[in-house]
Amino acid sequence: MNAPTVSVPGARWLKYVLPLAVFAAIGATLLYGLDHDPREIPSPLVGKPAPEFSLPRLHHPEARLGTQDLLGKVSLLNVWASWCVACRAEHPVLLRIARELAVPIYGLNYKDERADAVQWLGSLGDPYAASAYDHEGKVGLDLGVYGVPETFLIGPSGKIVYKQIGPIDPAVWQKKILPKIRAIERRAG
Amino acid sequence: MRPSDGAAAATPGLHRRDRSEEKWPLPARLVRRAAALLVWTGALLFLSAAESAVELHKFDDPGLDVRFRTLTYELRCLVCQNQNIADSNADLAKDLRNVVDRMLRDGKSDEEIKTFMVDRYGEFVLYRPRLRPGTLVLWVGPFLLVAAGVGGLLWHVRRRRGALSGGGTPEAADPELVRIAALLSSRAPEMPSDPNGQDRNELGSR
Repeated sequence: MNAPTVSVPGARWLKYVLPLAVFAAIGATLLYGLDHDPREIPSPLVGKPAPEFSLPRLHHPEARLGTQDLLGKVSLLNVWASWCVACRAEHPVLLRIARELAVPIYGLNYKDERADAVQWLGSLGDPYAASAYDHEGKVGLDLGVYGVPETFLIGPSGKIVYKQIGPIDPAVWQKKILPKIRAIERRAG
Repeated sequence: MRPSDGAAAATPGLHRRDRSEEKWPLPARLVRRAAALLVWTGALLFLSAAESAVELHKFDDPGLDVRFRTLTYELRCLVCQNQNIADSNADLAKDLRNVVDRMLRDGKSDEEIKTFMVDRYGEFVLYRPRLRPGTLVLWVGPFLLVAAGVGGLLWHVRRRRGALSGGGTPEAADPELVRIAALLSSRAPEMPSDPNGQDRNELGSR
């Protein structure tokens, strides 16, 4: 084993550095994987205007809720359903946000039955400025919803600033969503 | 036919067994029943499964049928990530199958349907990602790895060969080989010179 290393200068340290580099690369990849959920697929819609929609409201089917209602302010569009267990866990957080902050939360009631949804809000409390009723999930499809709950942070221009996949918990709210709201507000002056 | 009659009478068990199932021993009869039941249940299950898979998306045009199958085979179900939407039973997969179905009937091209999906769910929905800057690594990466492996191997082999031939004889590369060669060559002339093997004894005694 001595002869080959002698014939190529530099091979001696390469023998130690190369495995170390490979190990570091694998380690970095695994470390990155630790706090990235493969189920969270980055949405191509972030940074783009929210897709146009207009749906009947949950409580007042004759009235409509649409993209127009989201303009001119920072708002949250929360996709939820009464059959969704994680939504139940998220609900108290939404109630607190609605109570404590001036950010309106709009609901998108996704593939639900109207009666179930109304009853759900009646018994657990209604954090929503208004809820749209998306029975067939058509708007959900345009929004790229693939799991409930999902929440979109929408800027005053109607642009999607951030998408939260899965329930908002206090940590997500503090670390991810609130700073983005503050940033938009700062930019607006 | 007397001989055969006689044979039948001599072995009545054989004759009876041929005649009907009731004469089989009880365990064998049970096994046969169970097997028949299994076959029929299996057939029923298979039929109903086949029917439920076909019933939803039926196209008059066989070309559309093929395109539907190809597309749903190449689109990922985002809920159950290692399945395509053709195989998945998830609600979302069902929705997406319906979308593909509708868009095909509307005369949309495969590319339009894929773009529709990518616009909503990202490049990740495509099991066969498109060639673009972001996916270049996926397409070129494996070939680069193979090239690097082959290159490394060649480099290694040539380096060794270079080191071996560099010192003239292969033995020159390793001091121990030099010693072995020296020892062998010092013995070599002695061995063939001795036909009776006496020298070998001598060798052993040294």
